[in-house]
This record gives sequence, structure tokens and C-alpha cells, in this order.
Amino acid sequence: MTLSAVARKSISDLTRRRARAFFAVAALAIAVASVGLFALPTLMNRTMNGEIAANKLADVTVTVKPLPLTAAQVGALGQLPNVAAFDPEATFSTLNRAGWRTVVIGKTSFAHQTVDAVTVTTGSAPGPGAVLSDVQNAATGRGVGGVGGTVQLRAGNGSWVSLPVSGQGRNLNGGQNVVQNTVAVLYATAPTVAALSGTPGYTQLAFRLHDSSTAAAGQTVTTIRRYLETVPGFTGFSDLPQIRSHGDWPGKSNFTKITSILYVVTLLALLGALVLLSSTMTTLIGEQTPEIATMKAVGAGRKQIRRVYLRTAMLFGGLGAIAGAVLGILLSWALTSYFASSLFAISAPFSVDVPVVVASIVLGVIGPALAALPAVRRAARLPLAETLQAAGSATGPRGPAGPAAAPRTLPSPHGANRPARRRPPPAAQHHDRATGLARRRHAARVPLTGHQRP
Amino acid sequence: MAPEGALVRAPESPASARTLIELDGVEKVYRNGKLEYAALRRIDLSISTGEMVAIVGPSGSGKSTIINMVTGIDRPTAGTVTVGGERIDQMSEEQLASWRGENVGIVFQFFQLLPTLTALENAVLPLDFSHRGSKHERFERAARNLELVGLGDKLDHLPSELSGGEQQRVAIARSLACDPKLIVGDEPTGNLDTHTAAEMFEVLAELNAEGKTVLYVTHDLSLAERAHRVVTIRDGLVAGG
Repeated sequence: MTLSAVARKSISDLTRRRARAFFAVAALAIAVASVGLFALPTLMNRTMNGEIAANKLADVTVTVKPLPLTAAQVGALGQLPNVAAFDPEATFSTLNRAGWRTVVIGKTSFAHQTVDAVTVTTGSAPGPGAVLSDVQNAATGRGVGGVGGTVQLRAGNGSWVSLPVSGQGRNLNGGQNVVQNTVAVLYATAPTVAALSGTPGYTQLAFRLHDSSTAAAGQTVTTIRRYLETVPGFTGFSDLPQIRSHGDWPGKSNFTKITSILYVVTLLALLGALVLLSSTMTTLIGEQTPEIATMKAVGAGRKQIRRVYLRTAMLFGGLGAIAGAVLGILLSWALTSYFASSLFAISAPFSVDVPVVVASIVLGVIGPALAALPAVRRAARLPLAETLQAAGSATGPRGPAGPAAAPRTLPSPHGANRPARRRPPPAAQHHDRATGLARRRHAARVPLTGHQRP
Repeated sequence: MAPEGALVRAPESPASARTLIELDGVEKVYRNGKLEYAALRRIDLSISTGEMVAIVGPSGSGKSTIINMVTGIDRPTAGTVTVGGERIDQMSEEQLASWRGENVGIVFQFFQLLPTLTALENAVLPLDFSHRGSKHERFERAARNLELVGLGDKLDHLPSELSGGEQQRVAIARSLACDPKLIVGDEPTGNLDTHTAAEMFEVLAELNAEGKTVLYVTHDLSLAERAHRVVTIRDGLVAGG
């Protein structure tokens, strides 16, 4: 497809000063890529939703004083209205030999976990008297031995007990507990925890619900309380029931704070790039004042001049937007992977937030055009006579001092008449004298009689 | 008062020709702070269709200002400028740009080509701005104009790859783009050597012979002599012609 001369001018202006164009496009690409940071919440949610499903994360968790439950009572709690699954946990908080506060979570079974499942990543599930170390313990250095090693814990009776570490495991709540509360988290069977603490019974009752809306969850908590009041030894909840909002996951609020800080970086990158582009367009247009005058002299109106340079700005933006969008996709995925790995010890699958990518491209194209508007408007409003004079044309006004005293200056759109000095003949003229004779003779022989009027 | 220098008048244009350009009581005063400078002082000038008119005069006399008035590049402080029956002194900037693109071909002393565009693209520019015909038709016409000025084999050359004479030919081809009735040259040969200048003048003379009105400013008295009429400007007044 042949481009119009006007469109070609917009394109050729990009390559006129390649280094300048490269840096302008690079700055825009970085800014557009930084818009990709807005994809982090979506990408993280996708990653965490997969993990929530794998972990069978509880919708409601109630904390009680150690409460022994029979198998029938456990079964009955699992059959309450709106309850999809139920698992009780026994927890014991103590110290390890390295001095870290350590929480040992006792599960009824590692083979059939229905709520808050612990995934064994290395080694094996702990048998009686053994523990499974949360993966974040090793990542954060919580004084827990590796697989095959031991960990020494202070028992409920004050003695130190050495327990073998059967492997490493991962659980969203346990991992976040390690990262946020600076504790070590271990997983064991409920009898192991009871033996360690010296107090049998479950302390955390975790439920998954059919309907996890706040109202339904609140209603279910009431039902749970009514049932527990029938269980001997129940003295009430020891803490407020935790109801997980739909789509919420442990550490989400902290992650949101981190991303909010990153948005500031995005904003600064965008502003920086737009200021740079505005300056680039001002320089570009300033350099092209003679060309603007020429275009006006051969029939270009203000709108057409604006279009030439807006197209250039949008081309800058388009190139920056495409490069930036690709960069943004990679950046957002890399950051999601980093946060998922460092905060939750999980790997994030590759994913793209399409609306953010589209928005970044649109912003990348329109932003530069808006940033270039002041320079473009100034270009369109340049007074033709004075601009031609500044361009070195023989036309143009002469001031009181006459043309001989006039400096070659760029006019302002509202500037007064300025005297002009003639530009020296271009080098091409010398070239002509040296080499152009034969061509001129040939050209002089070409008749004009064939000229046809439209 | 006799015109500056020993000018020999070329034959007069046909008496039947109708007026194309009419300057009536045109004044142009430039103001710069408290300074005022009258470039034109109540000039009356009439140029007929098909004429070839040279404007001569010393530097700063106002000859380029007359060109600016006729092409709508500048506006008079007082008086009226009528070209082709249209009062261009009353037109808005946008109207003037459109009018200029379609009715006047301007040839500058320093060619004023866009350096990043090829000869063909430079020559097609006025057609692009006036949106005449399809893109294909516009390029076809521009190529034909370049062939007419002897540059048919250099359509894809950038201005930097052309000699000064060739660049001026491109500028002439560009001025012909919209087939205007009026060709205005602002010292069109002022930046060329004598031989190339003579060739350029031949091109302008041939265009005039084809029926176009040619108006040009020159310092070269030998080129001025070849016009139908020589208008001498001195101190902002028509001193002869």
C-alpha cells in the first residue's frame, strides 16, 4: 500500500534522529510496561484461586478451648446445614531450641484432608511422634531442621522433646503465619500435638461452606455454636469466628499494600515518559519550523499540520505501546511469580490480564498524542510570513532595520515581525555546479507542451 | 521616474486579458514595539491573466511584501487584495491555506523541500493537502509534473541526493501540482548559478506560454527584462511599471 506524502512525513520524522526516537520509544515502552503492574492483583488472584482450591481453604474457622470431639460429633458437625466439609485441628504454641515461637498444627488425617489441607512437597506425611515442616520455615530460617533431621520443642510440661522431621509441606494459612507473624509452623497428627501439649482436644474447627456469602456464613456460625453448646466441655468461642470473604486469601491485604506502592511507580513512569515525549515533540517541531512554513505555503491548514505531528506522536506511542505491552505482560508475570514464590512458596502459572494489556496499549497511543498537543498546537498556529522568514525564504516581512541586519530566528505564534538574514546557499548548489551539468542540459530539452490540465 | 537600471520592456501582454491580480491602496506597516516600518504605502497594482511580470527593486523596498500579499502569506494593514476575483484579504487563515494550495504555485529561493520526502512525495504534497483525486491519481499527476521538468528518472531521490537546480525543478513541479493559474517565484533563480538560473527561467517562460500567469521577484536585471512587464518598487511605492 502506498502511503500519502503527508503520512510518509509523519513516519520519516520518527527516523530523522534515530537515537532520539529510540529513547523516546524506550521511555514510553517502560511506562506502558509499568501499567502491567495493574495486572498483578488479577494474576495473583488467579494463582491464589488455584491454590485455595488445592488447599480447600476454610470459609469459616472458629477457635475454641481444647475440645475433645468424638467421631460421631465430628460427623455431625460436617452434616450441619450449609457445611460442605469440616476438619478439626489441634494447635499448640510453644518454643523451639533456636528460640523461635513455634506453632504445631495437629491434623486428624493427612491422607483424607477436606479443609485447610497441607500438601506434602518433600519427604512424607508425619506419622505418630513426627512433624512436617512448613516450606516457609526453611525459606525464612526458623530453626527447624531439614528433612531427616529433628526439631526440639518445649512440651507442655516444660521438658524439651526432640521430634523427627518427616518432610516439608505447604499450607496457605501456615505459610502466611510463618511470613507475617515470625513463627515456625509444624504439622503433625492430632495425637502427637495432644501428647506434646498434654491437653487433648481440638482448638480450631475449620469449615468449608456451600454458600460462603457473609450472611450465610454468619447464619452457619450460629448453627455451629448451637451444636457445640450440646457438646460436653464446650465453654464458648475463645476468639471471634473468622469468616473468609469470597475471593479472599491469607496475606491479600499485605499484597494489596505492596501493589499500591507499585502503582506510584507506574504513575511516575507514565508522567516521566509523557514529559519526555512532550519535550521531544517540542524539539522536533522546533527543528521543523521551516518545513511547517513550507507545508502551510503549499496549502496545509492548521488541522492538517496538527494531523502530521499528532500522527508522529501516535507513532511514537504505538511503537512504545506494542513494545511496552509485551514487556508489561512479562513483567507482570515475573512479579506475580516472585510474590507467589516468596510469600506463599507457590509457582504462578503464565497468565495475561487482557483488559490491562488493552488499556496499556490505548494509553500508550493516546497518552503521547495528548502530551504532544501543546507543541502541535503551537506548530499549527505559527504565523506563516514570519516562519517563512525564519526559514530563510526570500519571502517574509522586513523589519525597520531591513533584511541585512536580521538574525535568523524562530518566530513565536504571536511574535512580532523579526528581521531576516538570508541563509547561505546549500551544499547541494556546489554539488550541482560540479556534477549536475549533463542532467541540466537533459532537463532543459524536455518540452512542457505535454502538460495536461486536469 | 525611470525604473532602477536600464530595463528593456518585453512585449506587452494581450490587451484583451482580464485582470487576475488587483492590489488597491495596499498598505503594510510592521510594528515591533514602538518601531513602525511601512513596507508598502498605498500600492495600486493590476496584473492580467497570462502576464509574466517581474518585480524589481532594492533590498527592503517591499517587493517580497507584495508577493506575500498576492499569495495570502501576509495580510495588508489597509487596502484590498483581489486575486482571481476573490478578496483574499478577507479570508480566514484556513480559507487562505486552502485557496493558496489550489490557486497559487509558489517557488522559493531556497527550494523549501521537505528533506525526508522523495522528489515525488514533495511534488505530491499540495495535492495531498487539497485532497484532490485518489491517492493513485495524485501520485500519477505529481510524477507527470516531475517528468515535465526533466526529473522523471529521479522520483525516488531525496532532496539531499539532488543538485540545487534539480531541487528547484522539484519545487516547480510541486508548484504545478494543483494546476494553478498563478505561479509566484520569490527570487526563484537567486540561489542558482547563471546557467541553471537561465534554464529555470526557461521553464517559467514555458509555463507562461502555456497560459499561466507568472509573477516573480528578481535581482537579476537580465531575467527581469524577459518579463512582459517590469514593476519597480522603491520605498514601498510602485516606482515604475
